[in-house]
Amino acid sequence: MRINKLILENFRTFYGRHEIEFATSSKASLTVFVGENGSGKTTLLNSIYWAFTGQVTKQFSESNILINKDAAYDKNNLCAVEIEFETPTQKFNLTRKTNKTIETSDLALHIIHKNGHLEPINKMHIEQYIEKLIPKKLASWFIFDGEAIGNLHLNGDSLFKQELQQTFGFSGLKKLSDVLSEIERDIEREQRKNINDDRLNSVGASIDALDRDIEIFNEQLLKLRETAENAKREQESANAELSKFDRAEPLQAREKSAERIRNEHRSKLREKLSQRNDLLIKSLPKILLSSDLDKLADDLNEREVQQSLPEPFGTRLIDDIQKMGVCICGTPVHKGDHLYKALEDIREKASTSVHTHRIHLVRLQIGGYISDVKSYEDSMKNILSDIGMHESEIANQEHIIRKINDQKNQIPDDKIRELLQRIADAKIIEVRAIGDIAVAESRRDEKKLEVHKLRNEQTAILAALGRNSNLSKQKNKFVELGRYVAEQYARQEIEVLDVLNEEVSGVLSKYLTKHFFAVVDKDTYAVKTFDIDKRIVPLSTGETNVLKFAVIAAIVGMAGSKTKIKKVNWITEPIIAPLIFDAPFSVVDSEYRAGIATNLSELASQLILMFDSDKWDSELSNLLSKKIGKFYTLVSKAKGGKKDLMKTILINGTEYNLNEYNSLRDESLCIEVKV
Amino acid sequence: MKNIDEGNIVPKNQSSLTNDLEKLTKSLLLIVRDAEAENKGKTQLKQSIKNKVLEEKNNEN
Repeated sequence: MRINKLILENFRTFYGRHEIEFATSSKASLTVFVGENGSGKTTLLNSIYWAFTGQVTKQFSESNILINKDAAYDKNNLCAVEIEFETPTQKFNLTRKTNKTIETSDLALHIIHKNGHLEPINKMHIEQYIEKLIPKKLASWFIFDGEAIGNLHLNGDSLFKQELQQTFGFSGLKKLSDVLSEIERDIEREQRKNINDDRLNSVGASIDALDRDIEIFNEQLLKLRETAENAKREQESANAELSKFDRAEPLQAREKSAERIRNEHRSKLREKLSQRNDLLIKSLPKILLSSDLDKLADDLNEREVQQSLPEPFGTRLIDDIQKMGVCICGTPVHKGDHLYKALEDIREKASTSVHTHRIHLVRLQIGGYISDVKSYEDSMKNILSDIGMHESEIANQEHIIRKINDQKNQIPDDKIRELLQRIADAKIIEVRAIGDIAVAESRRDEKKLEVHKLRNEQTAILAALGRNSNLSKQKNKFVELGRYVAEQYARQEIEVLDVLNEEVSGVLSKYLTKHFFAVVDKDTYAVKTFDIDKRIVPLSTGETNVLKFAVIAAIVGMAGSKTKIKKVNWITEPIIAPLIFDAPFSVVDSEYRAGIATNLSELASQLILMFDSDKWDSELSNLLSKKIGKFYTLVSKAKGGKKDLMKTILINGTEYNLNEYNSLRDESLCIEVKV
Repeated sequence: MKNIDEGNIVPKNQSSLTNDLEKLTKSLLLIVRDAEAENKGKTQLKQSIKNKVLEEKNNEN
């Protein structure tokens, strides 16, 4: 989906009618709005959000009244937002109007035909139509308030996983898979009913009973997971509240820091233990041999000193031939002849060079073994010392954490105590729920296994009875389809997560100074970051925000097939919508802004960014200039005379005013700047 | 899945079989999406999917 035009009528700070066109070309798909605080950026974002969903973002103040106050005062009670947008096949006009509050609105959707004719869509179906293009639950992913980036949790929050699966259409595949499997069961029931065989009926009754149990476990698991999530959120919210208290905050910061240090040591300890095990496996054979080798080396050294190394066999043979005056082949050998001399040479070389060389090699090899063992001992000593150090550091930090907790408990403030109690209670609930989840999952899986066995038995009985072939064929069709859907789900999920990992890691590698990379957990979708040694590393707040932007850009880019890494072979239909970002950099360190903006503009199929005038600078302007198709300034018009605080902005060497005074009313104005 | 060819039943080749499954899955996914948007119940969705799959099967035969 691509938005071509937005028409506002008496919407909040926009008095009267305002038409705004967006950049739509594939090369320059970026529309930029720049304005000071209160100039209408968040209003613009919310006008689009409201038109599509009938709701506004949490950050939108006085959200229940949408009509411009001056218009209402003039008794002009119409507040409307009109959006012209297009999908790959059709153009649409969407209009949402209200004359009261946000709770009541009137929605109209028309197909725009090539000749300009507007064909209305039945009111009953409009919501469904919009829901297919941009589901309400996902709107906040594509129409994003930058200040809300803190609410995006990448730590395995189930909501994140659900929304991601919906964006990529996985939830549809999952639902289809479930329905196919249910149809399969229905057919099996029908088969049993038609045949009415005692053994079959008994197996069927067991399958049905187990299926009911599995269903109960699934319902339980749903509730337990919700309980665990809620408990986790409760801890986060109580912790956030706690951090507002001056006395608690330093303690919390110290506790967090101690926990971080302890966790780092724990991770290093695990690594050292594994190194120790590897070293043991590698060194044990040589260590076992080393005591005998020591003796052998000593023996060789001693013999060499005493010059009692064994004489080589060849030397004795030559002596015998010379003494006997005949070779073993019968040739006579006399002192002084050439054969006698040749034998002399051989003996010389054999005894002084080759034999000594061989002995030398053996000694070298023994020496190498002994030195290896020595180096293993040294490495082991170092590893054991590190293990001891990490263990003692973990104990230290745990002692500090215990002390901090004691201190926290002593803070004589009811509210703080209450918050600490809330955190502790929620932790207990979370831990208990996690335990219960594990038990319920394991019991459910046992039942699933039993069902699997019984269904195999049922298939065998049906085959033996050899009846109901028509139903069997029907069933086979659903089995085959179910298998295909499951395979596609697994394949697509792997492809999507692989691309996500590469895209996000690419951003981290490009814009962070440290060597970090990201991996999305296949089960929870938690985004974990690792350092160059493949150890998990916690990111700073600034780095976390870069990571969050990278995740958003990668998701939107992948859904729109804009990622350059590799294409996902979609069987589902991902949601493709423009990315509209208000105040994208309100919480981002200045050093990361240009990188994030470039990444977003490369990945979103259509990007609309609303910048605070303080955040728009020449670096951003230069980086994005080729991508910008439309550029607007949002001017704040105000009643009353000119103030010295008036703001201006420099665009392509020209200065533009962001304020106008002596206006008839306080209002926002959107002015296009040619770029 | 079989094809009738000159009176004999011959197996379809693998890629054509995969294409059929892909096409069918895509149309079933549209049914799921519409059912979700229209808030249809599970029984209704199951019936629509069953009909579509069996209709495809009949077309083949």
